[in-house]
Formats: sequence, C-alpha cells, structure tokens
Amino acid sequence: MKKTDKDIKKELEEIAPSLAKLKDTGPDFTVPKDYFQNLTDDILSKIGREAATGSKQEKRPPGLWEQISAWMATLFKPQFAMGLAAGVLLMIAAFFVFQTEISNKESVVVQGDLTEAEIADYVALHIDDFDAELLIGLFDDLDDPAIYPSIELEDQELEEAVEDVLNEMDLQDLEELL
Amino acid sequence: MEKPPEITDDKILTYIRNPNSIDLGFRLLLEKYQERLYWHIRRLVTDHEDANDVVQNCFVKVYKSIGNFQSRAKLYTWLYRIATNEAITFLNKKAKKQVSSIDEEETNLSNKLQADPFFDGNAAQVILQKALNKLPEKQKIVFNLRYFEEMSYAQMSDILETSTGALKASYHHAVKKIERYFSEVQI
Repeated sequence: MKKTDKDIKKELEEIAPSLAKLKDTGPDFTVPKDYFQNLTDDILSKIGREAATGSKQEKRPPGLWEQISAWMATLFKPQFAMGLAAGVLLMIAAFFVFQTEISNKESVVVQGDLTEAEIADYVALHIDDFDAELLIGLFDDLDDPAIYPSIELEDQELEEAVEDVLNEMDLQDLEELL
Repeated sequence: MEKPPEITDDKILTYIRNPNSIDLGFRLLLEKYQERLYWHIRRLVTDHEDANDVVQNCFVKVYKSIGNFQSRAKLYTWLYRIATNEAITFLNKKAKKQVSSIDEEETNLSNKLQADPFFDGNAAQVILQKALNKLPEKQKIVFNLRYFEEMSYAQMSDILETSTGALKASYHHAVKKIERYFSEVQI
C-alpha cells in the first residue's frame, strides 16, 4: 500500500471509524461482463462515427439562404459596416464636388471665354450635329464686318473671277441667269 | 505473472503528437485511463448506462481537443477535469428534466439501486449512496476522489483548482455529514 493510501485510511479512522470499516467491504457498483475489454473499441467507433458525420456536414454545399445569411453577417460586422458607410459618404462627397466642377465649366462657355476661331473650328468639325435653323441664324451675321470682314478685290482680279465663273457655266445656265 | 509497467503519459503524448502514430497513442491513452475515469464518473452519476454515455462523450471530447493539450498540465489532471465537467453537465441536464421533492428523490434512488443489476452493495452501502446524494456537488466530488479513488490532496488540488486546505475542510465536512446521516438512519 502506498504512503498516501495509509494516510487516507488513518485519517478516515480518526474522523469516521464506521466509514473506515465500510470501506473494507466488497465493491458496491459492478459493470457488465467484459465491459472494459470492449470499451476501447466502443469509444474508437464512436469517434469514427462522429468524424464521419462531421465530414459529411462539412462537405454539404451551403444553401441559398445560408449563403445570404453569411453574406449579411459579414456585411454587418463592425469593420465592414464602417467601411461601407465611409464608402457611401465618399461617393456622396465626390458627386457634389464633380457637380460643382461641371457647372463651373458650363458657365465658362456661357461667359464666352472661347475665341471665335475656336468656335468656328468646333462648328466645322460638328457641322452635321447642328440643325438648319441654327446654321441660317449663324449666316445672319455675315453682314457684320466685325465678324466677317469684307474682301477688297482689284478690278482686274474681279474681271478674272467673273470670267472664270462664266467659263465654268454652260450655255443653258447662262440663259437662265439672264 | 508480474504486470508490465504502465506506459508513461509522456510516451502516450509522443505517440499522439506524431500523425503516423496518433491512433496507437489514443488507444494507449484509453487503455490506461478509461477504467479510472469510468469509475470516477460512475460514482457521480450512479447509473451504469448513464456512466457509459458520459465516459464515451468524455473521450470523444478528449480526442477532439488533445491537440490543444498543453504539456505544462499533467495529462491525468486534464482528463479528470474533463470527466468531472462532463458528469456535472450531465447531472445538471438531468436535474432540469426531473421535478421531484427531496423525499421522492431519496425513495427513487433506493428503489433504483435495488433494481439495478450492476449494484451489488449491502444495506450500509445503499445508505452511503443516499448520504452522498444529499451532499453539495463539490463535497461529493471531493469525498469520492479521496474515499474511493484514494487521491492525495495535492492531486485533487490540481484537478479541482482548489487549495489543499479548502479540500481538507471540504472532505471533513462531507465525512461528518455522512456519519451523521448514518446515525440518523440507524436510529
């Protein structure tokens, strides 16, 4: 008997002699025959079964609702929610900043900061985009010498120009003109 | 024939930590501790079928968490702690389901023990079981570990994380209460 066991028995005899005597009687609880011989295998099979069940559950693909729930749960985690809120605020701020810049550019055009040459180039490039009335309106300004200065020709140059025009015209056109 | 020396806990842990010998290591752990833990649990839950369920669940838990076991603690301490917790959890769940008075419980236990094919105790041992059933949970555990499993206070202190002084006091209180119960019943 170990020293500890002796101490335990002695301690018990001192404080409860009847209990010390009872300890010497036979075992009270028993187990089924060969219980401990089979217990190891029983426990190992239970572990095997639980592992198999666990891996089956792991392999099952998550359903649509589980995916949505997981996504929502991720979205509403504090760090993601803060990020999302910051993103929305940035988008709103960017919208206002760009709106202000666009309206500023529009007002530059209205104020006429573009030169006449730039306007004429733009019109020539996008002539198909303008409607007829707008173009007619534009030619109303032809008489304005500030926009379209008159061309001064020498008499000889004028005669040559008329002669060229007459040469290019056929007889029928000339009859109609006269 | 002389019994072969018991395998050390360090050797068992070495096998378990090697992926190639984990199954052998766990089998050795079961062979060394299953009987001790079974009796520890049986003393707490009384019924064999209940003890069988609890001991199996206990070792499933041990298998799942043995990877997290820290070498700083002793293996048997860790195992006893898991077994004790499993038994207490089981008893608490069972107590929630049962709605009966203390007198009814005493009669039930007496009848249960008499009908139990795996209880061979005499009349005095039936009284001891009834007295144990009346003890607070902690005192019952301390009494069982000292009286039936003959554990030193130092070992009990490791398992229950309680000072040896408190354990001694607890054991003495439990013994005195049981003795008093014996004298009341025999009058």
